[in-house]
Amino acid sequence: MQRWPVLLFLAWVCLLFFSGIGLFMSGFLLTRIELANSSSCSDPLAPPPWDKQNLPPGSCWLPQRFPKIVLVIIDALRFEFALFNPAKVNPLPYENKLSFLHHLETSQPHHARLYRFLADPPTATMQRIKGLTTGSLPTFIDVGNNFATYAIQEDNLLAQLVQNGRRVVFMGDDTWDGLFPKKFFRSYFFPSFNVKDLHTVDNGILQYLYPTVNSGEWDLLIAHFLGVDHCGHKHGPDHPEMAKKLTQMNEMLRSLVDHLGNDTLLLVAGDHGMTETGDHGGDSQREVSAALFVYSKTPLFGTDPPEEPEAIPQVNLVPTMALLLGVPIPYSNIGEVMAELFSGDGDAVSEALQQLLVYHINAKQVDRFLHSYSLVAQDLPAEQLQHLQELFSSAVEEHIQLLAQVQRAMLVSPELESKLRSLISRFQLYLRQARAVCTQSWARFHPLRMVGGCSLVAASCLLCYVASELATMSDSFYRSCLLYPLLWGLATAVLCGLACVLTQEELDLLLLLSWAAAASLLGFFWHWWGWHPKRARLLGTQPPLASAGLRQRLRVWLGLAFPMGILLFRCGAMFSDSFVIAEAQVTPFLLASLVMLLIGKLHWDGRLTVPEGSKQQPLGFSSYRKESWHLLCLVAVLLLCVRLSGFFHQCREEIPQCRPSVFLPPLASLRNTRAKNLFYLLCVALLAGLVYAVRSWLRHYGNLNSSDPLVLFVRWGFPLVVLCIACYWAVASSAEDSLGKLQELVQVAVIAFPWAVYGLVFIGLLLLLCHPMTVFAKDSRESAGSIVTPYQGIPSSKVDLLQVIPQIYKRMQESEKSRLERRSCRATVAAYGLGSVYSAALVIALTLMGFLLMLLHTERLSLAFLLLFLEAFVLLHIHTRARSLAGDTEPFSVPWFAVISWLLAASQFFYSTGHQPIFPAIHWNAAFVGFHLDHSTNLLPAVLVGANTFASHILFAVGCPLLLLWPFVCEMPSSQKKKSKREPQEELQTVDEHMMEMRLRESPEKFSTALLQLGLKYLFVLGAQLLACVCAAVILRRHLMVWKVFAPKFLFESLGFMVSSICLLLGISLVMRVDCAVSTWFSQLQLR
Amino acid sequence: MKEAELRRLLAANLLCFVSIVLTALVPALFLDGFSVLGTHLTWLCVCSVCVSVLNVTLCLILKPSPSSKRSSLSNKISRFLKCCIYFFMSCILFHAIIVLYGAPLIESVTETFLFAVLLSTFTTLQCLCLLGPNIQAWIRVFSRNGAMSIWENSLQITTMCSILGDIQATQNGSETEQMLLGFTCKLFLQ
Ligand SMILES: [Zn+2]
Ligand SMILES: [Zn+2]
Repeated sequence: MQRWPVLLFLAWVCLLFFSGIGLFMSGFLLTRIELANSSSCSDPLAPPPWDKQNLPPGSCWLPQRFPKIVLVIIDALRFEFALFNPAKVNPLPYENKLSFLHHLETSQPHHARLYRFLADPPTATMQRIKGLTTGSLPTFIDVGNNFATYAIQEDNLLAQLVQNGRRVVFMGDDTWDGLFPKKFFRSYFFPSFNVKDLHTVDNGILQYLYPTVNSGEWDLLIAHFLGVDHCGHKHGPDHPEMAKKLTQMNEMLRSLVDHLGNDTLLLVAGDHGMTETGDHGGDSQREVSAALFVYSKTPLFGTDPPEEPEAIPQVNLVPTMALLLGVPIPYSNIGEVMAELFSGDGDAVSEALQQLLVYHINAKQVDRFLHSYSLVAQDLPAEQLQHLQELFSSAVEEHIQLLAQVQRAMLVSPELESKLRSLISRFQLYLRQARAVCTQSWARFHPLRMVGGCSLVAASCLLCYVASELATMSDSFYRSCLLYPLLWGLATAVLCGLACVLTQEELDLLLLLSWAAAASLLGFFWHWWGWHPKRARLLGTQPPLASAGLRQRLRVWLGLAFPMGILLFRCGAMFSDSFVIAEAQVTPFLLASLVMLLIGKLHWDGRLTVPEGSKQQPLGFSSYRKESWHLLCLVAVLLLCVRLSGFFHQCREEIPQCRPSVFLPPLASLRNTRAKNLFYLLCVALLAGLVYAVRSWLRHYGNLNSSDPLVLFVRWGFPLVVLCIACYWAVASSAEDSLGKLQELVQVAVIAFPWAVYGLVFIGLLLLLCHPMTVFAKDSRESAGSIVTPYQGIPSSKVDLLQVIPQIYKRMQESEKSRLERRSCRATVAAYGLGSVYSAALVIALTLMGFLLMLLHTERLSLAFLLLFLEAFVLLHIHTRARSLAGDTEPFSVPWFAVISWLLAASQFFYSTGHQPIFPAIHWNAAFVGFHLDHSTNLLPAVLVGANTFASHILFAVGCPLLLLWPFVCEMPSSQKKKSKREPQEELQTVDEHMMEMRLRESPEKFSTALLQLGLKYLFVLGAQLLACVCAAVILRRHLMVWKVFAPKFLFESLGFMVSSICLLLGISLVMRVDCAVSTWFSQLQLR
Repeated sequence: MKEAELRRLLAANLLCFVSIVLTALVPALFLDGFSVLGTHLTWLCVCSVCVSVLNVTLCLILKPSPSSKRSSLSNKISRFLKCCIYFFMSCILFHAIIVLYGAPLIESVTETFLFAVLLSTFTTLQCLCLLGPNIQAWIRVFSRNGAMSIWENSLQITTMCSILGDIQATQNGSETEQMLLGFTCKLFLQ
């Protein structure tokens, strides 16, 4: 059997896909260019020369209005949290809790004001901190950095403050530490990542806040509270815990205001809001609108607050704070100052003049930024820049004229004021339009790379299809279709590298890889074309296949049309945003339709009915065979599974009437103790049931008889794993306060049990790799008894007591003759479980991984996992039955129908394990199963969250070889029934019938070919879905929904593709490993 | 003979078609605020009743099934009862299939059930009229080379088409329609 070529071929195809994905991603995902420039005091943006008032020392661009600012960031402070409505009789837990803000606003209307603070999506904390300090817009791909916080390179507020010798003191979320290393005069960081921990950060801040404020050794004090956000993630906004948290924040603000001096400005801001489930990251109304509250003990505003709080974008805070503190505005800021904070306490005209000055500086800074940006990058459209430029220069010109008039005192007050106001509105218009232009066009694509990536993926798909249709794979195939293309690719890579070195250009690894991939794809098609005619000629010498005729080919095409039509439907659905949004319903629908169509087709072909002309049937009437009823029952079970799995769906915000499944939140959030206990018992019982089912399956096929370490592990390790998981769930779901003194023990247990599971699963997988054989050999060659036959030989042994169905395997290399001789030489070996040795290894691996993935999900999602296993089992059986009913003559090729339904089930269970292809729906909690505090590296949490997200992809991809193996495993019962009635002389034939998976070993050539074909088919279907996503992203890149729907879908699909393909390789290599072990086992047997 | 048969078949199918169109239009004259989408429950009722009445009368008039032997009254009654039971069972079966396909379990039971009834009138009732309560004959008709007369051929085609057509609508009624509409519109726009 050729093991390495098969694996190598599949790995090569995967690499081709990966390079296509990488190339496309580099062209598609937005990358705004960050300018390295930074503002400084000496920039000529300072007040124009006619304004001769001297700047006080320590001020830049504008005299500072406040020497000190306290910025309190309450993470995820939604606007509704800060709003106070005294008319509400029964406020929700999050309503009317920040009463102190309301008190300030009503008692001192000129000192305090509440704003609606609009965040730019993505509303992840790190993106928001970046926006709040640089005044610039986030780009899409930055979301990925949420695990690893990189220092901000762009000019920002903190850098400006430090540059101008101010002291910045920080306390709270340690994300800031990574973003602004060594920028703080003093800092108190607390770990932020554990969203289950509501109090550590907040209590830590409270411990230091008031002493620090009193000490006065600071110019900007930032306190970032995380409790509200974590409370939202853990319990959701509508929970008593949220009320507690907000009340705590209210008290904090009350005492903070007591400690403030008269020269201090207090800003209370939320970095983003939260959805009804307490998550954030997207751009829905609830996530985007945060609260901003401004307060100072000296009067700030000249007017009373408006009825409805004003809405301002978050970037506006940066220029405002910079100018209030008297430092330069950060270079890349595109925000607009909040002019009413600069009004001072003069008359209307002087107020307007002051505001005009501020706007002038702001506009000049934005104009400077746009100018230098347009020199570096071409993504801002030239005509719009031109328009902005005109707007700016005319406004500046008018400003100069107006100022000259003011100096000559030519205008009377009311007229002047109206002129000033109109000028202000022109500056405002300029700033807002500039921001709009930036927002619009920082979606910068590389069309060439996108098309290149698209065509690489498409060509790889074609390759998969072409290669999977080839009948046999000989050495010549591997030579011409694997080795030569690889050499082509290598040669191209070397040439490109050399060219780069010679031209002294920077080596782009991604480009290099994609060139190599393209070359090797070309090489494949070239060699395949040259190789194909030869095959055809070879086949031509054998008359029957060549003259198969048009009709047979047409029939083959028609047979393909059903599954391929469904696949086409699925791919087409990726192009419509409403279908992508509703994919959780579309996939099960397609799966059910595919299976129904299969049944209909079998019926239409008359495969389900008793063949015409049998004795008990009158002519012209037909009835169903017994096997057909089995098949129909299986289909009913499948439909039931599909329907039930719909109860575990997560919701997208685009479907407002959707309610997320009640099974998604962890048991700990359940307030009804009885329901909690019931659910807990149900989950544990079902888990135990899974173990029981797997064990009885293994026992049924005789794989539990030997005393190998692996078998022992299955017998004793599996229940132990279940025990550990059950204990972990018990500890994790118990109420936090109820345990009192046991708290410390619980802390330990919460860590220890997951680690025990990790360890056990790891040991199990290791054992599986070392000794994948679950075969019990009974060597009876020495025994003096008569011939050992399957059903007579060992009636009294303990193995029989275990209700084992023994399988006998005889070396088939021996010819018919030697087999006849065997009767006389009275020697044979009975091997239990040899017939299902490959599947047993896969089933054990799948069960172990299933345990691991269940641990990473919340407790009640284990029900969904059980449905997953059941559905996979039923699908395998349907596939087997349908094949045997259809009278498939090619046992070594898996039909397209099976592969497509397998993949549809995989994506169906992506949704049914509570996932959605959007960022807020990611289960971040998975990163803390077994880890209490912050992670030291980012790799481990990424792996855990990734495993959680792509759980069904992993399981189905690893289990993919079962599609090939299952018909062999199941061949036994049916044949046994038929043959057992026959006469005893035909015993030899009976023995033949029980070979099961050993049939695969009989023809190693065909086995390896079958595995390769299966892998290629799987990759083709996966690749077709990916291709559809990629094409959708290309075609709809200017679609309104691209960042909300298509781009996340593409990201999830491509990540899913990577995970699936790697797991597919793992699954196939596991089968190969078992094959190795079987080979050595046989050679040892022969030696004995 | 064949010509005449063909003409009768055509007439029957045309009548069916016209009656369905009429059920969508005529009740608007008698009932206030009737429309197919707005008051879909009424329409479902009216449509299924009309089609079933038409089918039964056509069956009685045209007598397409050649195997109508002379039989006693009790035999006829038992045959009729059997037909009723079969029809009811097919309604239940369709209901179950629709629910398995994703229709809500409890919320809109009436809608789902009426839909199942409509589906049964289009499929099972026609089978009952043509072939009688004889499942084995049904199985024969719905397989390759199984149809023996034009009537049976027509039955094959209409039944399969109605099942295929309705499978699309099965998935959550109006939502799917909107999605399909949106999808086609998008395809045209781009
Ligand atoms: Zn946040
Ligand atoms: Zn958060």
